[in-house]
Amino acid sequence: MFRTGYITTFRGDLVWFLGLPFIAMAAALASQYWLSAVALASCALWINVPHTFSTILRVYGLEEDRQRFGDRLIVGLIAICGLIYFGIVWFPISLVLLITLWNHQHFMMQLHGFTRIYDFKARAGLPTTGGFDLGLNIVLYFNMFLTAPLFTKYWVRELVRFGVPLTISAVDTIQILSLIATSVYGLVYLRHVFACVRAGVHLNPVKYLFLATNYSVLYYLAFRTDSLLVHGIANMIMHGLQYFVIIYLFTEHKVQQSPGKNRFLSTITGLGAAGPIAFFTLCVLYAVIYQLVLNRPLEEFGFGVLSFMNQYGEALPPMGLAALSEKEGLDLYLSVIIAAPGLLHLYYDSFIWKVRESKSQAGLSS
Amino acid sequence: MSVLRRYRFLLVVVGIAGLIAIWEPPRPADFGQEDYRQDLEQKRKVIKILSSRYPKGQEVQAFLGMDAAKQQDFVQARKYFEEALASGVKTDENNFYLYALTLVAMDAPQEEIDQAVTNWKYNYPFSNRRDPSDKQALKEYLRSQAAQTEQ
Repeated sequence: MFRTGYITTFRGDLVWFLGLPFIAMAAALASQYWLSAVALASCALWINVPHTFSTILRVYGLEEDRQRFGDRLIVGLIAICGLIYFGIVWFPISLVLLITLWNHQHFMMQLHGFTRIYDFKARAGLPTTGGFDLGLNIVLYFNMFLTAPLFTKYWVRELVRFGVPLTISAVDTIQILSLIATSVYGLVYLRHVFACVRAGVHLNPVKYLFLATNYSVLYYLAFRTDSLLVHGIANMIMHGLQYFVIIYLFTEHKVQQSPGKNRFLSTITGLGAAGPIAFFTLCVLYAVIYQLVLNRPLEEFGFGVLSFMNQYGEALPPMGLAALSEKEGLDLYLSVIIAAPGLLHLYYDSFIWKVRESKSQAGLSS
Repeated sequence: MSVLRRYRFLLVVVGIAGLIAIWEPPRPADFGQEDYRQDLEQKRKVIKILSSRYPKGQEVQAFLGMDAAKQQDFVQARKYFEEALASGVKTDENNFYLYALTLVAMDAPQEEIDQAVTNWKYNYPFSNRRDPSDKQALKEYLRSQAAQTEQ
């Protein structure tokens, strides 16, 4: 009846797909307790922004993807840039709303995507299981969105802003209907599971564990906290890191399957254990450029803990030193980064050129 | 694959954007008294719904605090802002900023003002707002509130 299949390996899935939600929840609650509001922006810069870039790396870096999706990559780019431009100029509220809703749909579809991968890996389920899984994810995710206090305030506010005549009883009705629909669909899904068992197909228990762990954490945070910071950080960690894992794995497999092609990506994946770190670092560099282009402070990477201005923002009258401005603080920091290779050069040169050593002599001989 | 099927999702996204855009309320070129009143009326509707379900919620307490501050009932405003801050929500700068302004307005002990300002700066180190302990910040805030409610 049961057949297990993993997205990565048993240990890999235990960490990234089953354990990560709890780590994310702990990190988010710790952030609320110990860190400032900057933590949300920091998480976005370290995980959210880089993970969007990783998609660009894959689709433009893999020859197969360029050929397979070619026109959609270009048309999509033009259409979305146009949508953003016209949205900012003519309908900004709608644009923000669209982005918000699309983000939620995207989060939900990623969870669904992983459930499908689990069935693919275990060769489990009936041909109709994909549809039932999609229904389950839609119902679970949007029930959370409609009933959790954290999200209720957002859709209530937007509906009122758009002139929808919303009343207290209407909100109650929507939430009750959502709970009923979720319960009914739960029974429908269970019926499908029993149908799978009767048909003699396998079920992948890891898939159900994945759904249980991820949704339980999302629901717990959405119902127990009023804080977008907490839910946002947990969701970003779960969604972003799980995405990094799958996209790196996929890219690595594709590069191995097409030797001689995809030179840039094969250079990264060819680094072995350092490959994922290099991939992630490249994506974070994109976040640095993103932050600079937006003219936002680089300190937002620091979770509110690291700050250029901590030490230099106060004037020191006894020493005749005025307070540094933010730009001056940044200049000071950048000059340290630029000077570091120079000093390293001085230090490394102190031991790499010993002519008396045989290995140096070998390099100097023709 | 037919073109429609190939671009189905993109068309759906653009279609939804268009539908929402049709409904988007027009933005006034000049945000005048009437627009402030309508904006406030909308906020009151939202708060009325939210307060029935989550009376101690951060949004409700923050709104009540702002309302009280507008009426210059700073003692009550302080209580509401403290409730809003006690919820642990850090993603609304107004809670921190207006709480500090409220303490300044009611001439609270300097240590309390300093603590409130420190909390605001700690959570929003990159904010462009004037330091709330600066009396000018309070004058600007009170002036903006008066401009919104002037007949």
